[in-house]
Amino acid sequence: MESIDKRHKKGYVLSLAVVTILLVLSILAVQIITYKYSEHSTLREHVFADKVGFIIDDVLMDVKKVLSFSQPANSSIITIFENYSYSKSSFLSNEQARLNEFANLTGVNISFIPPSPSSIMNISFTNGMVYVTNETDANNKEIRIYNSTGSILHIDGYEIRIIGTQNKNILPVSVSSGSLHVRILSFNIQSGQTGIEDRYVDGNELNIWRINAPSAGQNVTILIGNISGKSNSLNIRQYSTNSISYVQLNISKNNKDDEEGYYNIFLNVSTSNSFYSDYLKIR
Amino acid sequence: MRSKINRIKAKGFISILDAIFGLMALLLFSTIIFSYFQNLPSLYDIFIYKQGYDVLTVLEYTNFSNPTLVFQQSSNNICMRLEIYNGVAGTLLSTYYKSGCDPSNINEKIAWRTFIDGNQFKTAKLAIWRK
Repeated sequence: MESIDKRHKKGYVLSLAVVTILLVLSILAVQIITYKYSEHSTLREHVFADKVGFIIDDVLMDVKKVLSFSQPANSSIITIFENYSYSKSSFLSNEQARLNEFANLTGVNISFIPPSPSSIMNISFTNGMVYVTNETDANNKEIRIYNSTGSILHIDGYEIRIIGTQNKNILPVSVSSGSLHVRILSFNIQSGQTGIEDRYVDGNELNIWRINAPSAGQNVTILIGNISGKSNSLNIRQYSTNSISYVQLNISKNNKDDEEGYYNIFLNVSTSNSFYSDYLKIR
Repeated sequence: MRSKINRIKAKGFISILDAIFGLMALLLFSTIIFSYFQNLPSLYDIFIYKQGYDVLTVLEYTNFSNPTLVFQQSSNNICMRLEIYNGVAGTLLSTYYKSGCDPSNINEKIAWRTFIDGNQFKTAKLAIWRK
């Protein structure tokens, strides 16, 4: 009788031991699964965020072909490069259509919304400076720079490099003396010759230069200074000509802060875990 | 008395049987769960994709001018194949292989990038895998 009791006891102890082991194993399994799941979620988020960043950079590199911004590290000079060898309207609508196709290929939702009208592209900087390029009229293209939030643009100077078939000679029409440094280079790609204008002007006055195009009545006019009540502004306009191929603007700021800004192109990029929905950043 | 003892014996037996079934169920679930995690992207996949994105970014920053040189400067244990297409995966224009690698691999991962060449919209497909 006593031996039966002992055996029963043994059976229960064994059951209890198995149940305890099961419990420990279950807890361990749950912990491993939880750890693995959180590790995996982090990795997933990481790879999707990377993918979104990669796509944004990809789109930015395409847009930079027509209008690019750059600023070397710890530099007070920013460079804006305008490529007139592309029609911006055609480029942007083509980019939009191609990116729609590309989205299907990569499994990422991409929505590229060009400016309206697409012939007017701009970069709005967080310091208030605005760069506008207007190609509404192919023979009267125009570039403007001004401060959208104040009456003066806080800069030290402009270096303007104009590359095209316009003449090399830069004719001062109305120029004042002051502290704003202006350097204009007109490079004729046919003759290989360059004209240079280098002086300090008054940014509160309207200063005008003219570069004639080969045909009579056609020219490139450069305005710097007080334009529509905004000091230190800039305007480059082609009159009845489409002679410029590229314009490179080096703007000297009075600080070395990294400039932030946006193109007037709206971009949506989304994966299942990550998304970007904002104007396209310049960097 | 004997029937009582038999009932207790049966109870003990059933408890052990329950425990065994429980253990089997646990093993089964563990196997299912672990095999599920095994099939999800691993650290290795993440690393490969990151490498692919980096290589494509460098290629675009160098205007896809010399893919072979970029391949040479990449990690030794990584293999790559680059295909350049006109438009979005349209006509295949050219293919580049990293030297010392097979032309393809069953575990290769794919990354795509767009770029502008002159006035042409092109796409680059990079297949990347570990040696």
